[in-house]
Amino acid sequence: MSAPAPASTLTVAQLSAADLRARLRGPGLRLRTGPFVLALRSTIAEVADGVTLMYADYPVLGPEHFADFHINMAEATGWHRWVRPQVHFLPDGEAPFQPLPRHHAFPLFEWSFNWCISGRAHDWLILHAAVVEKDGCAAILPAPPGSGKSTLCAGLAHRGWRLLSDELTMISLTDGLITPVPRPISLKNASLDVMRAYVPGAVFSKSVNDTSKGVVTLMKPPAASVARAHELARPAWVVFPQYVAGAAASLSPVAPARAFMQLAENSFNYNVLGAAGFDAMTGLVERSSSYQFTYSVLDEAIAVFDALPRPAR
Amino acid sequence: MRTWQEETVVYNDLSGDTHLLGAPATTLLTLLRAGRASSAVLGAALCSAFALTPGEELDGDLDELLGQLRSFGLVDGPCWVRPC
Amino acid sequence: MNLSSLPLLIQVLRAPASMAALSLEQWELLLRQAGAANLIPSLHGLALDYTEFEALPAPARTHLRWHGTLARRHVQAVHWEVNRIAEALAPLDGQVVLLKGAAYAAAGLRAGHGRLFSDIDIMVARARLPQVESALRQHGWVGSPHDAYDERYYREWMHEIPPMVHVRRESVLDVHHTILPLTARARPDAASLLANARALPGLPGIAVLAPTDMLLHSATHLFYDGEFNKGLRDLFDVHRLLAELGADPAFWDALPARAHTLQLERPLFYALRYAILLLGTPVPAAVLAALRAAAPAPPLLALMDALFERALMPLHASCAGTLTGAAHGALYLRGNWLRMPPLLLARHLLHKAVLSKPRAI
Repeated sequence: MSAPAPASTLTVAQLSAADLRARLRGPGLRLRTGPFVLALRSTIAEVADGVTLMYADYPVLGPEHFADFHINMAEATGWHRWVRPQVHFLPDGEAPFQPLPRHHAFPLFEWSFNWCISGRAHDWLILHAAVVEKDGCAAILPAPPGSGKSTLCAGLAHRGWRLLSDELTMISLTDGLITPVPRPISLKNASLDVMRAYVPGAVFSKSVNDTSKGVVTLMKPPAASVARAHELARPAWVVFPQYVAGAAASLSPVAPARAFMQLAENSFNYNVLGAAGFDAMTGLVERSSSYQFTYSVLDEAIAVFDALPRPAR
Repeated sequence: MRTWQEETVVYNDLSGDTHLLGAPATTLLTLLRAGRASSAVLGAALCSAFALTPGEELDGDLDELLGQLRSFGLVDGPCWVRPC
Repeated sequence: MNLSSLPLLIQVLRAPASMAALSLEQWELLLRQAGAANLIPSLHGLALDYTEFEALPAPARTHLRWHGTLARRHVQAVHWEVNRIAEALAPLDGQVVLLKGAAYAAAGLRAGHGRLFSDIDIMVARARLPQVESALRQHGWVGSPHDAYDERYYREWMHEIPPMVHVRRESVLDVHHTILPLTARARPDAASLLANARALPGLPGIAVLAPTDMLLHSATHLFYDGEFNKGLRDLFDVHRLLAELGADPAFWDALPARAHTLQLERPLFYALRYAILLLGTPVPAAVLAALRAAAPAPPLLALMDALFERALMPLHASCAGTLTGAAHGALYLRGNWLRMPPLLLARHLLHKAVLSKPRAI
């Protein structure tokens, strides 16, 4: 599943629009994202557009390549599809989500893909957290929605840190290293304006205004992060971020046992993994320093991250 | 079970639950894992470890702690049954 | 039935050792069909038992292993729930009989391997229901919310009381007093089922149905419940139960007569017929002969054959069915089993607004 990237790889950007659409409408578009291969099918234009923009740098594979996940973003059938077109996520089994308005198709695809991975890939302890890496050390940012994690992650990813993931931190049960699964960064509401200003020239998907989370926009991950997706990383810091308007950036240590419990509460599959999950979490807590982090200004926050003490070997 | 700075996380492989325990509960759990122990022995251990005074209040607290450990399935209670 | 036209999943269930020879492309298809039928955890067990697991292609091992993790966790959760039920009900007089998946798991039957489910089913004598409910409430189970009509529906017409949910563990417990709704045509004698139940060593007060009764219940469940999206998995239960329980010739000798006594010959007829047709289950000729009289008239039989063949196929596009398949990932999502306080599965990513309403498995 995880192999060094070959020297020259066909990417989504190199496909003609016609070829891309043909794959999506036919046998499926096979993409590599980190250790996983996804086979995506959809007749919905918004999905094709989103993939073209956000997954431009991702390797494309032929139909002979084994796919780990199969996602069909289908146009919901029924008479109302002319009046109120809808998109429905169809995995191989029972559909877990209600259909949504069609223009939500691309964000729904992103959520659905996360659902697939976090519900099945039990070779890893999977945290609901962003993770970025610099100089061989990874910082994990667990956080419930509204904590500003994605904005912070997007900022770091464009100021010298490698993006490993915006949502799914995958910790190997065998060696405790982090496996990257870089994907578009999900920005909500005002975060979009912040990132537009912070990263001139960044590529964003079309915003979807009326989701249950407000306005959702995806941000294209840096090409280097995608290209280096096969490079594992060593966890060094766990930082629980909290955006507080007007606050100065400040770090305070979190006791290991508390960090353990908070991490477990921010995990997708901790309580499925049994003793192996407990051991992986213990390993994570012991090899990293944990902090509570408050901030409001992105530059200040990034400076704090840049200055994090490197773990003693 | 792993302890850092006087707090302990423990995984119960019967229930699949993970718990965060303070020092007194950890002391009790460690003792009970070593074998059966009477309330008197447990009470004495808590007294010496945490410089507490024996008495009714301690007994009450001890009962409560044991009750909690029992309800989590971390220690055997009087009606304990094990799957075949 | 043309064997080679059967879906790959069914061919594998008939002959698990054939997994050793599958190409990567076939593995991808097999996993998709099995995913739709909620059978990947079972495939993992079959692969371990019937093939050189380490010689299988890496992606196959990976996916099987992922689901093996779920299966392991599930068994742990089942044992714990049964344990808690035993603690709550053991002090009362009378038996608590585990049914279906919980029974297979507690009795260590192969039918339980890799079989994930969301509710525990138990059966007690109808007269004891009030004490049983009361004891369960004292130990943290509460009735799920429903209105007066539902309450009446359950208590007067159904074979179970409304589902109970444990307040802390959020696990679901279905308490039955017989195995078929009171309104069904067949009225299997609940007292007889309870009287013949077998106690489980090490679990005071807990029992499972006698082997013939367990098989008959499985057959009944498959063909009376009407929810055929789990059909293949339920038929596979029948197949595995027969393989294990049928190792004892006394089982086969007793089966037809027991089916007759419990008025369950017709479901047994169908269960055996489709297990043989689809899964190649070995069944002694004498048993089939004894059940011939229970067969429906030929026109009805032909219709049933057509319906069941369709209904029992894995519900995957590759099997020419619709895509509403068995719950798979949804089982995990709903997580009654896997939500253990004080740690709750982080659901914020899952945008509750878009989740389907939970449905019983």
